[in-house]
Amino acid sequence: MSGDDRFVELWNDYLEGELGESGIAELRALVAADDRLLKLAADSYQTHRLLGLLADESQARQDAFVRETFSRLPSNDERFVGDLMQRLTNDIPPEEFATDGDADRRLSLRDRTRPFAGRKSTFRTALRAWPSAMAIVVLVLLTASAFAFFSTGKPRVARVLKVTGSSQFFGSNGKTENGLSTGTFLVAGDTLETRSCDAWVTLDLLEDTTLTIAGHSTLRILHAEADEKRFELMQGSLWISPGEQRVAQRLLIQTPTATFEAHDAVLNLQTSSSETIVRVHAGSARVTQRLDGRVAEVSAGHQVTASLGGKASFDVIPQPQPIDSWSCHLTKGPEVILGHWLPPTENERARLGAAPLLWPIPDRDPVMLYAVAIAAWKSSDRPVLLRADSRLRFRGRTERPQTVRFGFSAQKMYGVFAGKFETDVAPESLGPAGETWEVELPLANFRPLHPHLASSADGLELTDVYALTIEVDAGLEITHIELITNH
Amino acid sequence: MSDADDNAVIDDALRRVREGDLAAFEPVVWRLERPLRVWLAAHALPGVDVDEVAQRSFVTAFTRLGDFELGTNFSAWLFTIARFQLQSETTRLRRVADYHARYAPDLLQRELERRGSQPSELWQTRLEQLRACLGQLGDDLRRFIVWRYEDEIPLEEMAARSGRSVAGVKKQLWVLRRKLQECVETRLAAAEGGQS
Repeated sequence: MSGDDRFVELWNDYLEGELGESGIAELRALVAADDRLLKLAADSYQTHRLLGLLADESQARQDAFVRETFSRLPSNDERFVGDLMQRLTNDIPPEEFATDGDADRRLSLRDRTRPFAGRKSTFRTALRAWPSAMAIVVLVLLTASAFAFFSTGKPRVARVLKVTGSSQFFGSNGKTENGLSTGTFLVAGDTLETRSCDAWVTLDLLEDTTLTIAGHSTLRILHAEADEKRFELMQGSLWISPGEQRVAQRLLIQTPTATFEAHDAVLNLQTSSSETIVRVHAGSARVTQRLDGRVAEVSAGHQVTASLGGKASFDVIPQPQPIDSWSCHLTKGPEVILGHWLPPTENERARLGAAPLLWPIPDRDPVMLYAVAIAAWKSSDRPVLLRADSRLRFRGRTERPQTVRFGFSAQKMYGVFAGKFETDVAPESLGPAGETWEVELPLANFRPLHPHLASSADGLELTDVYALTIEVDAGLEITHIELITNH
Repeated sequence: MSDADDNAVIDDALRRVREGDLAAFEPVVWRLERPLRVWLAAHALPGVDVDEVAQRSFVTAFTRLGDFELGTNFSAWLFTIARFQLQSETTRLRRVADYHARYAPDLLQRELERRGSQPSELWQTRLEQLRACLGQLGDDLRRFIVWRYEDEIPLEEMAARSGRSVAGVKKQLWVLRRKLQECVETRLAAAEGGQS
């Protein structure tokens, strides 16, 4: 094979997200040795991106972009006015007052082209700036009025940063929407529900802290005092990740079994109707068990389980060392997120059948999924570590031939949500319909749905596992799930 | 509409924003969102959320409106902001442990950065030429582009539908991208020749 042919092969795999690390290294070497190939690669990449943009063009798409942009215009009105006034009266160079990230800070005077032409510290300049300052104050007041109107007068608690997969929004005003829009501001009384296995939603808590909920989670925003934010995680998983700024407000999260209070802790919660585990990765959190009012302080590297039944000890313990092999014992009744139990057969004592799940999609007909999903975190006392060479083994059957989508969600080990990974297996690879099949899927086969969170599963912690068919009820059932790692 | 007319319309809108008409910023976003997203799409590395960077650029421009000198080129000012926003996002991604190894060959990154100095208007023209070139493709070829970019169906399904191997489909996509690229270059050169 010639160098060019090999380049084309590697480059195509790269664009399809199918190139491993060794392939990327080989591609790099080829491109480094030949400027012509580098030009070809860049041309091809840019055409590829523009084709993607053309395919995504629509009036609705443009409408959504403009709407979302507008929803992101300055909301912290007092600070905005304050900064502006201070800047115009004191004539502070822009790079010193900017707070909106590195990029803003780098817009220094010397970098600017004419429109950014720097001001000199003269009284005359300051005077000249006043009319525009007053105009912007008027603008800000109008902005504030507009936002107050749009948010029904309630204080905004959070803003939707990212939405993936199927979700539903139950507004405090009684309005229900299939899907959330990025940029939407949330107020007390709003409820979010992520419906599909591959869903997750990230909220900006407007104070340099993000909150993420994964699939099959329900989060309600509660009324809170001025110095706090209060949420109720009714089911599912939640991650809190504070930024670098000091968080002034208390963060309180209620679950069916406990209340958690934190300022700037990195933590994650997983809850069912009867049990909640909180794991603190940085900072600390105070946990109150609802059953008996007992309080525990959980510091970094520790966890506690609060339950309604009182079976768990409510002791704060160090987070256990992870395991890299795990078997889900269906006979022990794991936490089933989706699915229904089927009668045992001679060969299989525990069978979990796919449950229908209507997947609403904005502006399109909803899609029916038939899914089985298990919470791995509830099926193991120790975190389940995924490695590059790990494989997931599924045993099950379908009554009719149908492609099955296998997937899992993961979080950083002792850290924040890290995304979902999925792979499709064609019916011919599963075996004859009606018969039990077993597939062993290397984790490398699973594509990351959101590579900017984690591009590979290596080193992540398994949180839940699922299998589903799309639109067709193929009678999918799962009888065994296992994580295998070579040693 | 000429560039001068365009600038005059934008200036007028920005003047009204400064006078307190918040809604006047909307036509500015409408007018510039597409060229901005096109430019970002062509220069952002894999994994960069182009819409996020574009929105951040508009928000930053809005909050800095006091800095903008009416009568100068707002579009150029916005693109300067976007360029820095993109650099910032690229830096953030580069710091993510395995991102660079898996998603962003450094040479490609450098080449894209180098191309970032080309005039931003060029990319809007390129997109239009690409659309025209796409229209010239026969249905039997265009279907691959539709499957890949509009329907986003897996390569395996594309192979099954077209009766080719997966490798054959990948090769076909490569050939089509090359063909489209050449078509765009030819049309741009012809347009330039026509102007001179």
